[in-house]
Amino acid sequence: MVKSGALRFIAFILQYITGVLLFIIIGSLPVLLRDLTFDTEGYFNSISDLAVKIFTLSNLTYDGQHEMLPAVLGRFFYSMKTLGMALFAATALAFLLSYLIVLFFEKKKDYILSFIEIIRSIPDVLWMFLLQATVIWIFKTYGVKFVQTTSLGSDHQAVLLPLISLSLPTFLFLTQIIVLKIFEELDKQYILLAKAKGLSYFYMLNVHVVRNISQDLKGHFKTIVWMMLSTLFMVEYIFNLNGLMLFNIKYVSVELFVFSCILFFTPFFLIYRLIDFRRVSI
Amino acid sequence: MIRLLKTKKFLFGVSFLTLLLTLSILNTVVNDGKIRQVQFIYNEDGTLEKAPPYPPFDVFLFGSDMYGYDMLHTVIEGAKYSIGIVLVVAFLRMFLSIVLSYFLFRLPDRIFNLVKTVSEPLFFFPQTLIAYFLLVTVVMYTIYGFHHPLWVRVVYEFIILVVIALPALTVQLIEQKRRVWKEEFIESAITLGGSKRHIYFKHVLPQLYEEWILMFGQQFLQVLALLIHLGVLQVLFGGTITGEGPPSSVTHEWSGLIGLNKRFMLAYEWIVYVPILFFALTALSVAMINKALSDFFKHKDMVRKNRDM
Repeated sequence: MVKSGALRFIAFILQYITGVLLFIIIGSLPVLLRDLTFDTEGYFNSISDLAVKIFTLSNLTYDGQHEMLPAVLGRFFYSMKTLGMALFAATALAFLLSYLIVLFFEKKKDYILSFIEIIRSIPDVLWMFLLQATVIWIFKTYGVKFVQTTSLGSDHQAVLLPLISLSLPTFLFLTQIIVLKIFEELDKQYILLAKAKGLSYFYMLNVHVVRNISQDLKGHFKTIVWMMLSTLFMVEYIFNLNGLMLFNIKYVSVELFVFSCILFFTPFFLIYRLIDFRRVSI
Repeated sequence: MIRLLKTKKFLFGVSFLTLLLTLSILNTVVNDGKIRQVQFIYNEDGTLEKAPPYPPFDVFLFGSDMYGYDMLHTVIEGAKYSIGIVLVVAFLRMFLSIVLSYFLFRLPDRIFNLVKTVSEPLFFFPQTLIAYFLLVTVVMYTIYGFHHPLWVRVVYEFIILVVIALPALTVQLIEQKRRVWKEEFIESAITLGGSKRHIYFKHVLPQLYEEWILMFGQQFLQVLALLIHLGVLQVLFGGTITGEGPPSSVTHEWSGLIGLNKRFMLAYEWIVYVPILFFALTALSVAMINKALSDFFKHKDMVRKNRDM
């Protein structure tokens, strides 16, 4: 038992290191492709340079002069905070809506599901622009500005609109999966047994069904994070949030790109491994 | 087949896309790619009444841009480029990963798992950021002009857009094929002496082609979203011209329209909304076609199972 645990830990570390190396190799590609000259020597130099810098965490700069770590960490935590809040809001709302659908609109679920599936394909950028436009339209017609549309300095931070536009695609995706899974689960044998035992519908849903679908949801966690990171990039650009992604657009540099990739990679990698670990041990 | 044609979703999606593409191609063939322009509108006594940009529902249905070009007309002219690019990229992604997975899907379990764990970090990093990062150094206009002719930039962009999705897609396809390969009928086909190629084309392919059609639709939507993101970030297809004077888009490609006109967002918002609206409509119609197809395939499956019973 102990031995297998140690082995797994070593595999975990190795995988993390290969991940970091992979990011360095990909992140250095612009050096190879710069002006399409295929400068292989410069490419390998840049890889070895970056690897030394990143594994020792020294001499990292984002524009050639300024120290990277102090500038990046604060922005990274801001990005992660936004992401976490949006993820939480999306999950809570998705559960709420799917409960409503399961409890009250069971007969119409096919229509609702196909509606959600089609609506989901609308590009996230459209939602963001529409939200901004609505707020501005209200401001123009009624003279009330109830939320900030873009961040302007630390006094005027946009909070609500970025959160809504970040969580909306995830919310739709999650609702679709949860409703599908709940109905799939309700067809199973043990539900019949539970009904025969006289358990109430609500109890069954809360205790048995949700416990069983939570495993499936964890399997979709990867897709959700992937979707949200993509949207986060656009949200930070459009709402001018002072996060790590916007920082990447302002200073396009190999070091900064690789380092921020690794920063985003680390927490999610830990979470995935924890989920996998729990799944294996169960 | 007739059942599929009867679904409203399918009809709507297909007719919207065909209409858009036909109009767009006709505009080039018949009208020589010209776009309706009204520069100024004068009163009867010769004084200026209106100047561009005209708001929607005034001179034109969807308004006009800064130079008095009709927005609807511009968007229709650009449709064939945008939809064409997305179609080509999505098709190449599917085709290349199908070919790759054909050679790779019978790797031993051990090696496949190793490849999967090694390439895992790639899966969750957003395509937009990687694409932006790789494109920005080559495609952007510098003070000395473009370093490369148009076709080099276009080919480079195609390659980047295709390649960034390949690893994830190939692994997904390999997993699909391995799943089919474990079925019992494959085992009996092997026992009966079918060669690998024979089994692949006669037994595996018929199981999977429906899923591939649906995956093609999903890839279409993904590429579309990626193109919009790049457009908003002002990395336009074939290169961004920044410098003196108003930058202009030669092809009227949609993501270019978004990126170029983003600075008018607050004052003349329709200039940005019209291309985004058409992007959204295209995405919606593809999603509808996909949904109708998946319902159709499910129904076909059900009929087949019932007949066997």
